[in-house]
Amino acid sequence: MRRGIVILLIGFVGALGAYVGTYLAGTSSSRQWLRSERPELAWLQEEFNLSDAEFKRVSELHAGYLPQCQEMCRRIAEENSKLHQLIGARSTMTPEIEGAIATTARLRGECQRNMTRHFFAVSESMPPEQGRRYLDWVLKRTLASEGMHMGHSLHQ
Amino acid sequence: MNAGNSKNDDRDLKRLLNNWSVQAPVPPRFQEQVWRRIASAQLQAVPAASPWSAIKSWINSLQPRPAVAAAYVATLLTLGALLGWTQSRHASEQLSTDLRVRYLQSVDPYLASR
Repeated sequence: MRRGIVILLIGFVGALGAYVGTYLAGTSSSRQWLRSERPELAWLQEEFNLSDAEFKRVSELHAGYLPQCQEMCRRIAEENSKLHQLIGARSTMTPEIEGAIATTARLRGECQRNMTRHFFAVSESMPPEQGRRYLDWVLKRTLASEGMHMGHSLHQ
Repeated sequence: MNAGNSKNDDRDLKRLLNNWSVQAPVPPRFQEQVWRRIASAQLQAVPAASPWSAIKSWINSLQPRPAVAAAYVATLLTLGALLGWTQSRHASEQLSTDLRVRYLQSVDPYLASR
């Protein structure tokens, strides 16, 4: 009986060990992403097979682009709020509303130009095949998905 | 003299027994009743197996059969490894999706503001 219980325990402990071992081995690369300073860039490096030099260049481009992007975010939020206030306060179209719509459209254009410039720069820092793949992937989920619901394309 | 008499008695007794036959009729379905009683007695003799006693007997059966014990351990190891692998795949895919979204939100102000 006692030896039988020992065999039983060996089975359970072994199963637990095998589970933990394969789980840790299977998630080693994703756990490494989380340990990095910018996990989303670490993901990009693995997804597009970037060398360390390429990754360094992409990270620099990203760091340079982020302040522009954040400034753009602030301006978009500001203009959207202005437009909503104007629309909420009037029951007909006014020159102010038209002006605010024109401003948000101009802002959108500016934002798209900046984004596209950044995407091209990033893709040029990658090996040609990966660069094309990156451009195709990122444009489909950003510029091409404008006006679509986020959930449809973002998660693919 | 006594010995001769007793031999004669035995012979008589044997003859008498050979000629004896039971005339009483056997009750109807006698054989079937007998088998039923035997079956019922056997059932009472074996106690109802509880889950614990089944487990105990299974554990005991592992001991003298190394092949069964090895197969049991190997099966549990395989199951543990398979489960770990499946879960790790799922967790990695989930994290990959989250980071993909984070990257896109970090480069697209419109996605970030939605």
